[in-house]
Amino acid sequence: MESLQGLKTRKAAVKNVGTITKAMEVVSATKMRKSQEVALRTRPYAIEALRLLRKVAKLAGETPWTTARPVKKTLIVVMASDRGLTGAFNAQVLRAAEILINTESAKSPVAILAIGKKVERYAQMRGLELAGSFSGFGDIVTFDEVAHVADIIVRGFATCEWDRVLTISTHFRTTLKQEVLVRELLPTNFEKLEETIREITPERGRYAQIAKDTVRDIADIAYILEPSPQVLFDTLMPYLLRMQVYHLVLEANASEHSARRVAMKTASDNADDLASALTLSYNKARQAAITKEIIEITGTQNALENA
Amino acid sequence: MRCKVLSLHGVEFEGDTKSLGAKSVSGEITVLDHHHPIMTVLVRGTVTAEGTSGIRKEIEIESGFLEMDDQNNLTVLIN
Repeated sequence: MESLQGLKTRKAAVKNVGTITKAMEVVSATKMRKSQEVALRTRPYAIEALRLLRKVAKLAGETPWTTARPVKKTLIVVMASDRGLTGAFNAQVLRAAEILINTESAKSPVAILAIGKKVERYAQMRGLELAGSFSGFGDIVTFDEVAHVADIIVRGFATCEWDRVLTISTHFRTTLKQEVLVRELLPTNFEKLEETIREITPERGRYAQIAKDTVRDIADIAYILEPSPQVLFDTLMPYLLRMQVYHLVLEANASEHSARRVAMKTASDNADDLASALTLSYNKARQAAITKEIIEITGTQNALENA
Repeated sequence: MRCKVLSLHGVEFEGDTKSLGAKSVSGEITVLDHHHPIMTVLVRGTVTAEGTSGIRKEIEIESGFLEMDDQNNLTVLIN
């Protein structure tokens, strides 16, 4: 049996860890609630924006945004977190990234746009080309903060720095369930947008029917496009892409905090279990020591009486 | 017409609407029932929605997009 002192130290250590994870759980629970609220509040807007983009993509026909061109380089935007202790959150994203990078780099050179320090570190470790790296989106993030990330993506695409843009990020379904989704951001087209809308539309609730009420052929509707189709598309496309990136970041945030909250909850529960197991063995060891001492005392007494 | 005004902060206005006025890049525009399908870019100004029940709502915007489809659905995305 382990020494009394050793058990005591271990018990104290486990309790300490338990207090820390408990505190982190409380903090991430608050952040989770906030980021979930923001992500869910933005969802109707994101869905409408995507629907609009889908219509525009269809009406616009062949524009640089919607036409696939020979791929000389692919940009992969990977979204994970800045900090660890999120359970499998980062590992899931990076595993998906690994697979995607392997298949893509077989076809054409790949550059990475890292969102989150974990991704940056991963890219450096693998020696991948970094097109940019952003961090600090972890908590509450505004549209303007994300806008310049989207601008880099859009500008690079417009100047043919890359010919295809993929994103890997986590989509928030519920607190316990987040999915890693790979999307093709650019060039955009009708079918892809259709799929994205289907993916982000909740299965239940008031927005659930949006994905279904889809494919009336909108080319039949004679839209008036003001001021001119060209100007409209050129304004709408970058804006809606920005919106899409922003929405991805929000979803990833909500997922990160949910994952961390769940991980910390498991950790505190685990620490509680461990602490009670250790308390039990500590008490047993203490009792054993006391019993041993009493036996020694009575033994000595008996020996003295017999002498 | 069914009208929805959405911003990044959620749904700003939703419901049956008599008319909606806004400032677009090509000038002031008022959308009434069964307006011809239109898509346009909005500029800084005020969006005024007038509900069938007489509710009037004014929303200040920085920019936005307006879309009316052929089934009397109006969607306005604003910033």
